[in-house]
Amino acid sequence: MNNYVNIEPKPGFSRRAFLERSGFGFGAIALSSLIQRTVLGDEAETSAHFPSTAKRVIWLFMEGGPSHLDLVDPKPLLNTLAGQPLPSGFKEPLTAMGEKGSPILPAPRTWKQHGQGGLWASEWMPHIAENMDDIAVIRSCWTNGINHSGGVCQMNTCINVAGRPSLGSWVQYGLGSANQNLPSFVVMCDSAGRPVNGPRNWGSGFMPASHQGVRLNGTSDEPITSLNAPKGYNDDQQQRKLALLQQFNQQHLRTRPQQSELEARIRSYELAFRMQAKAPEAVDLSRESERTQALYGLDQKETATFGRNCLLARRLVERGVRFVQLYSGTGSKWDSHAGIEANHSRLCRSMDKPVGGLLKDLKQRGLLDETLVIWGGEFGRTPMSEKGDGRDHNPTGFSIWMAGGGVKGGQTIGSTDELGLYAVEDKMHVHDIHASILGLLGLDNMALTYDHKGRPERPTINEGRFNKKLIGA
Amino acid sequence: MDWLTDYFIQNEWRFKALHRAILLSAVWKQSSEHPLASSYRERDPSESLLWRFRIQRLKAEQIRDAMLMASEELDNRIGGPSINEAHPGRALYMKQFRNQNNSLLHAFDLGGGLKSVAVRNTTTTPTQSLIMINGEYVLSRAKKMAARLTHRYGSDARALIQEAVQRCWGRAPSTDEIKNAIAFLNVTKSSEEVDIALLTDFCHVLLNSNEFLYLD
Repeated sequence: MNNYVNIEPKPGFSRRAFLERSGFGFGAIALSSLIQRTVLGDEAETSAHFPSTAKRVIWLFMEGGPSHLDLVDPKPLLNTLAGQPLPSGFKEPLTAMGEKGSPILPAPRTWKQHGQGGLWASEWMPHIAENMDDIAVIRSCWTNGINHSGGVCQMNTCINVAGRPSLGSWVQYGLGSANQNLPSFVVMCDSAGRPVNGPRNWGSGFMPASHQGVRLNGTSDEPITSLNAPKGYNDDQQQRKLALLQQFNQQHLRTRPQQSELEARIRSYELAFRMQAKAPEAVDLSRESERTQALYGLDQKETATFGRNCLLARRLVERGVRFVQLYSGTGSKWDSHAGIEANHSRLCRSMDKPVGGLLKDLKQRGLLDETLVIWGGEFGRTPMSEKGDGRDHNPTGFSIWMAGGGVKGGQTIGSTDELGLYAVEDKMHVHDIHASILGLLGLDNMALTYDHKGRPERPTINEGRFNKKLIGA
Repeated sequence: MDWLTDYFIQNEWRFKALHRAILLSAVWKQSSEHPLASSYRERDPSESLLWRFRIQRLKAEQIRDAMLMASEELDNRIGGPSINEAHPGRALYMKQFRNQNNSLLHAFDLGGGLKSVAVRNTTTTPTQSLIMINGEYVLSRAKKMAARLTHRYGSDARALIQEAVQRCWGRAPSTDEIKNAIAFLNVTKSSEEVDIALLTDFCHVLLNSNEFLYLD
């Protein structure tokens, strides 16, 4: 990237000013620290705090809250106590729809242990189950977000109140971009709809807008908004306009030497056009073999949509995109207050094969070692029934899983109580989940700070701990 | 700031006197161009002594409003109910939805509306460039601008160029700039019809130019 850098920090030229004015919307921080290191010899400005095991993240977000009780956290007691109220020994839970007195809903699953580690998985995730030795299931997650908006907000920004930067923004801020042609934080949804909260889930909060996630639509002719020249414009016309723009800007610059932001803006147009040139190739799935496409389920109607996004995610991380978030069930579709059997069997079918394929493909290409894959929703579901055949939100105990990026597979971390209502052992709050993701990326959640209104802000709001069991420690 | 505070109190806390003092000061009236810039920069590289005006990118709302001004669409009425994005009123009056964002304004660092922002960021990103040169909104302003100019000046290429530049840059074009513009518009004879599509492109380029986007 040095080819494009000719802003040399001078004494008195502040780090903040550099970041704000540099033409590198994508990941200016790490870049600036690189320059400052070389120019000023400032060794303290390294981008990572300690050696990382993960270089990039693919986050599979099951929006609406999947049932841990029906996927990775089997509770035989559910079937024993089916139809009965929650036993008196349990602390009365606070749930979104107030389902505390409703009878226990059985989980009619077929459970099997998989791989060397003997991890449990239900029949709803047969393809993911083939990869259980690469997967660490965290069964003891909890969150403050009791409803979808708060839950999704917290899972993305570490707090259930709007306004803070999302984890992807922190990662980009902390590590910078690893490519010049694509945004480094990309979000894809499995429908044209919007997840709850909309774009603020990948917003940059108080950080500059350049750190926010970019929504990408792989099925569109224009995968990123405004990426293509306006309709009806051919290359020649566009080039002609740019040539005139260049001429005007250079004339303007000539009478205003030493105004680095003017040069930065000129370069931002150059960067924009590199992006325009490279993005179509990155999202062109016709370059993938039929076998690869089939591995992700692109040949089947039920799995094609999410499969396409999973395959795109692999292509993007291969090209240096650092943080990819995929929404499954965009618009709270995993939310199953009623009819969980139909809801979850359909959504699992759409998600399982693509995710299993992604893990296999990353592994066979040697990418899994440094790519952290995270699977989970904003919360889990209750052992108590709702509307007879559904489950309410459960923020007090649920599962997510991680694979790759240095995570030791074939293990479960933490546990819930006998009905899967409360996390009891080795509890991991969202703060801890985020601290652990950052930790795997080599970032110390307490050392990574962003000055905002005179206060050093931290990604995990001064809390959270890297659970090193994830790396087998 | 100390001096200003003192002045404010001395003048019986009157804002008008304070504003007059600021607006009539030498510092306020500076240009970003300074004849001794290179030697001053050696001594005060961060320009902390305010020896010249700091070049400023227009704020998000100013960019939108300035485009509407150039295309003569701006509805400059004060007050009234909040407006939708498509209405050409001032951006100040635009409705804000916390779960949506207007891509143009947010790309140019509009506050998110969720937390108070003491000082806005001023970023320079490829996303902004894409929105400016490819986006529908800016191109539509250029189309409107070209249409109004044509309506007024017909195919008088010189007059069209003069007025377009005046509207976007606040000054008359130089001889060189007129020459380049005429070449861009493909006009060889003075009687020749100016292609409205090319005039639109010319306006679009002006709206993308640094001279339009920066105040100095």
